[in-house]
Amino acid sequence: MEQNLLDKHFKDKLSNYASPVPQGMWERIAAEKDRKPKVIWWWNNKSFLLIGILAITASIVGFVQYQNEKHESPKVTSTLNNKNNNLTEESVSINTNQKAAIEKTVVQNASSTSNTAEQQNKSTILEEANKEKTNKKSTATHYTQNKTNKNNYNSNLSEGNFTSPNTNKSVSTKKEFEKEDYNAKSSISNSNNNSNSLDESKTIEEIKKYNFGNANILKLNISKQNGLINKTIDNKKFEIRDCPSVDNRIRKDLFLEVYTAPEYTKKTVQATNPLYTNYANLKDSAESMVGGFTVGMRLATPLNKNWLLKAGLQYSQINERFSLQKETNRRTIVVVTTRTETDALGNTTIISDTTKYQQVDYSYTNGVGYYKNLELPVMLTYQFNSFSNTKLSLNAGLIINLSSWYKGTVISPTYQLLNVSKQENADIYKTKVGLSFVGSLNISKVVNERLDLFAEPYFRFNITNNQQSSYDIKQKFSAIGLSLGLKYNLHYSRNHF
Amino acid sequence: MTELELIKGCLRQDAACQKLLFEQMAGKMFTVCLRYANDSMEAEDILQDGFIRVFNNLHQFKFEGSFEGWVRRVIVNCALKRLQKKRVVFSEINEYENNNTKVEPYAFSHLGEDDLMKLINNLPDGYRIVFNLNVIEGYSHEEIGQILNIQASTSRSQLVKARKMLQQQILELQKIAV
Repeated sequence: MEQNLLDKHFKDKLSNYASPVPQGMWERIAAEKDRKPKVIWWWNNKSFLLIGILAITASIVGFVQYQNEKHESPKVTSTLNNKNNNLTEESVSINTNQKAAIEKTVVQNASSTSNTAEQQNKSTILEEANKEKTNKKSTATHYTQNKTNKNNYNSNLSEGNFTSPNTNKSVSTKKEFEKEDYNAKSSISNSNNNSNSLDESKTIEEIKKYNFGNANILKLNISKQNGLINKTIDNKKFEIRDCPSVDNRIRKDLFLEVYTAPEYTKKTVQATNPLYTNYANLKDSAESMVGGFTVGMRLATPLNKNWLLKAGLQYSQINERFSLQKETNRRTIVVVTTRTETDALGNTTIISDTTKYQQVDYSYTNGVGYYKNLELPVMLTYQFNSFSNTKLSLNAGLIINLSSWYKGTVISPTYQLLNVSKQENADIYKTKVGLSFVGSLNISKVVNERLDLFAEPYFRFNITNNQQSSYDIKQKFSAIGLSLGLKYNLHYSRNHF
Repeated sequence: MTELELIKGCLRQDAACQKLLFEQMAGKMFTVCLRYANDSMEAEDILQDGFIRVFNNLHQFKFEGSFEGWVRRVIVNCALKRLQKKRVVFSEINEYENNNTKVEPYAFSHLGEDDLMKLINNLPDGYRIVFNLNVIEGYSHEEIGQILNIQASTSRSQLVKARKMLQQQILELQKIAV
């Protein structure tokens, strides 16, 4: 009684008692309040998010378009012979430029070494050698190699300009001067890499003829640099991606992928507030995953030779089984057994055995729940080079949840069983889950010119929680699955080579 | 301005409404914070976190029941969350303890709010939390057990000890007064 009075006194006095609030408290809260939500406000703003996604998509598409236009092939005539002629002309003009640059370098060298006769001879040799190389270049018939040469000429021109200041510094001795010239010659020979065509032995002989010192050094230089250029040519051969068509159209692939995937799903439930620890444990034990599936379609466009951008729309469903054992009644039953025993003397003893036991009634609730999601996958793909009918690629990206709804039986934090439909979804689960990360390995097999068949093992996990934040419970899903589908080239044309 | 208008204003992120709401409730909520916290600095931190949480989660208030009760629950949750981080120890009492201390009602009837606050603040963490939750917030021992992740019996024993300690404090005050 006294305790009750004491408790009542405390409650009456303190329930509505207002203590003086320290000065500046509101300013602190206002400052903190304005700072925190900024991190995620854009995420809650649907229109802003949509505009952002559209802007990013438009930028990527624009960039891809720009890249395609930038890499458009030069105009070629309809016959191969004409092509060769044009290419030869182009090569000649490049060589002319090269020659001019080299001459300039030699002139610079000459002016810095007091115009000796020896240097004049060297410049003559250089000119002659260049002419020879130009003639050989005119026999070029392969467009791609010439294209590569053009790049190499440019780089060699740069090298030529770069070496000239060094030459000016090192003209004090004959030996150093000769070395610079050897390098210049090496550059020339490298620039003519169409056929490894500068005959090394011939060049060395010419150098010997004019007493150019140690020919072995030169031979080594030439061999090394030719080797490098040959290697460059080999690599460059495979970097050409867009084959020009006979009607000058540029090939722009756009793939449509349609797929379906069975999934094995795992759920983690965790209470972030001790208030909900028991609830989280109960929920976790009552709900068990029974797998799921995803169906969808996406478009894939190449960004360059190896990289592709994929975006699409997919529906995924996670199924779970609900099984809850709940105590409904508990009662104590007392059983008293009485017996009478009489001994030999006629004494009677009454014996009573009392047994108590508890009887507990449980009710079992079984059901099925479905987490349904409409999602936007955005992925970046790296496709490995392949010369067979089997292709391999790696995908990584994000899945943006557009809408999510739950249907089925669920236990509420107040331990009530609820049959949730889409309308009630917002009270327990979010209607927009947020982001998931996805990674996969795609193995595809060519069926025909336009169609590929692919299998894609993947994993995904939720970055964001799908439970309402008011419950202080984190519920996240992760899944592994196998996508099986078809890849169809929408922009395929038979006019391509 | 009615409470409904005030809440709607806060939902629109109207700073004036938010300030008004704070001014209306801060005093009572600060008392709640002081009851749970060890000192006034900690109470201020709880109040700050609590009101930020109120403003950020106001859309979850379903206009069912008292708004003040909802805010109070949020503040209490914040306080408990903070105390949980400090790992409050709830010592078990297994043996039956007979409370012989008798305090007549006149001994505490004259005590004001500030005196009662001091008495509560003198209690150890475990006693204080259970006393607040049971006596003032009105949670049952089973609910307290779930909230604090302890046995209901532990909650009961903590309350018994808290009451005993409060009574002793009141008797001490009475002796001083005499």
